[in-house]
Amino acid sequence: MDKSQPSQRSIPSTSNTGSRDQFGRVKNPPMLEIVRMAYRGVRNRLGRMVVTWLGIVLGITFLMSAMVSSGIRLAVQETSDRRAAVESMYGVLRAEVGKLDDKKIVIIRPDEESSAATLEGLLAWLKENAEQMQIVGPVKSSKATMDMTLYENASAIVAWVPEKWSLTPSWQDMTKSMQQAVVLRYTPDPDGPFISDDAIRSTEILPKVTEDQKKKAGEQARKQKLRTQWLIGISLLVAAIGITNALLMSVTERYREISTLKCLGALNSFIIYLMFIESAVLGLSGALAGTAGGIVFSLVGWISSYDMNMVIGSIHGPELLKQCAICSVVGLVVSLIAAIYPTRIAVAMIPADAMRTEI
Amino acid sequence: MNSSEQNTKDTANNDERLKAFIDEVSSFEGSGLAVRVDDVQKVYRMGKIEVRALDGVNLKINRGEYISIMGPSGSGKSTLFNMMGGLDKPTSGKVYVDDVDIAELDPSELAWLRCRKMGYIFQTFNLIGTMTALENVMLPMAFAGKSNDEALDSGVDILTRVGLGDRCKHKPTELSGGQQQRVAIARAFANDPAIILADEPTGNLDLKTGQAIITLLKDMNQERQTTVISATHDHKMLDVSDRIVWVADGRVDRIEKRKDVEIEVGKVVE
Repeated sequence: MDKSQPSQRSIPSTSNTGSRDQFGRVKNPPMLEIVRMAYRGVRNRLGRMVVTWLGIVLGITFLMSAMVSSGIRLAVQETSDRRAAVESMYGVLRAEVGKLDDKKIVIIRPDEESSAATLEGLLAWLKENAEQMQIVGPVKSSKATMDMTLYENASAIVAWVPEKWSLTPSWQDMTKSMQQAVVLRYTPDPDGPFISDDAIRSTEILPKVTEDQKKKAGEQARKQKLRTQWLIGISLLVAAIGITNALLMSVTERYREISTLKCLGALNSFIIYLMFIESAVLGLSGALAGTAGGIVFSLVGWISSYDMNMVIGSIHGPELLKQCAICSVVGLVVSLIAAIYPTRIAVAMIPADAMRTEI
Repeated sequence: MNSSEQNTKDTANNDERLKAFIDEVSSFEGSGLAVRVDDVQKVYRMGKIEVRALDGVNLKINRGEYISIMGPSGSGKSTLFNMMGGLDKPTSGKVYVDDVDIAELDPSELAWLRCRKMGYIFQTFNLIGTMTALENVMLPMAFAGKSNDEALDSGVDILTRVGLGDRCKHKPTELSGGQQQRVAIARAFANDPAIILADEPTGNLDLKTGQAIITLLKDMNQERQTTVISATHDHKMLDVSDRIVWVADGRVDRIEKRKDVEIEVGKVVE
């Protein structure tokens, strides 16, 4: 080959390892090579990276378990409240009406579905206790006064009274044809309208927890949540610092390798992608492990003191998936942010400094 | 001019520059010199002390030449080598590679230059440990934008040329020192560069292997007319060099032509 001409290197016309701009240079670094190098790099250094990885796992476990626990707590609380309400209702019913065998009970529910769960709980309870009673309803409150034949020979009315029951039924009309004039009203509002007729034995069944108590509990819960969030934030910060440290060490270890890559013609973007992908692999895998760990951790905690079926039943599929996604993203973001500083160090390296080998 | 207009203008300017640079490099007739070093000085500041690693070096290297830069430790040999290879910038003076002033290049232009025009060989081989020999050789081709198939074929060809056709899939840890250096040589020649820069290529090798490597380098230099610049202590290199540049105290002491030098190197008795 005659080299007296200046070197004319033909630029290959096709490339599938990077897109080319109009100057024929590779515009984007070859992603396949980067991913391959990153994957192998992480696999190689896995042993040394385990402690850092565990840092992320712990941070995310903490986050996930807090999220799952709060979800379970809410559901368990609701179930607990519901159960208490049902038990007390049953107790009052039994007390007022006597034995429930062969008695007819009319159940009135509000038009909206607000207390459906408690109502279902009561019906289930009544059926479970295998007393031979006739249950009529649930009848929508708007239709309660339409058909008075419903109440003939009934022993009790169990009515769900919403907070503002605009329809004032005529209890006298309803109880006229009843065997026993017993009305049980389940109402969340202790200051609601009362039945003033002495002929009717009416009892209000109030939720165990008053609005005031609920407010106080809400305050406490909020404070607790804040505390937990602080703790989670700090543990994630520690994990991020751990990752930055580990990456800095790996950059120092790979001084030669990074400089060699630059000598082979790697653009800065190659180095940046490489470091970020390695960090992302670390962060994402740690986050996934942490998510699984968090679920297990919080389940174990709750199941040890509450009924297993109730706890597992209170986990909502889509909600859980959303929490998993959030935790994975958090882990990923934390690891990417932690990689920024080491990457700047790697990019700023001058090949000559790194490869000085004087005997 | 607001900032976005300024940015567009800058990008347009940069693109213009790069296009001009590539046009120039691809078509310019030039002086026929592979590397020209023009009164280069390199000064390191260590606290209050100034260390003059290079103190006014002038050098002209022709295309296709095999040059050895020799000198004791601390003479500035490696610093000069780094200057010529674009691994470092001089404090003053200019270095022209293929008539291009490398100090004026921005990072992407420099990367392009390193990728297409230069090949590097190091004393410590510097192969990527997590990749096989073939993948190591294909890496610079990937940077140059070669397709995977082309790169595969070229890679196998060049590995066979250096004598490692049967070891393509081996990782560096599975290769001996001499074999690793062969892979490094194959990698350096991967994009068919104009200049090969070898920094102590035989430094970590025994006599016999070192000699084999030197022979290989010389053969490739003659086959492909590639300029080879090597910074070395090894006197075995003297035999194959066209010219020898002796460096001492940051200056060029003397330049000798091979035919003017009497060399006798000890041989290993088998």
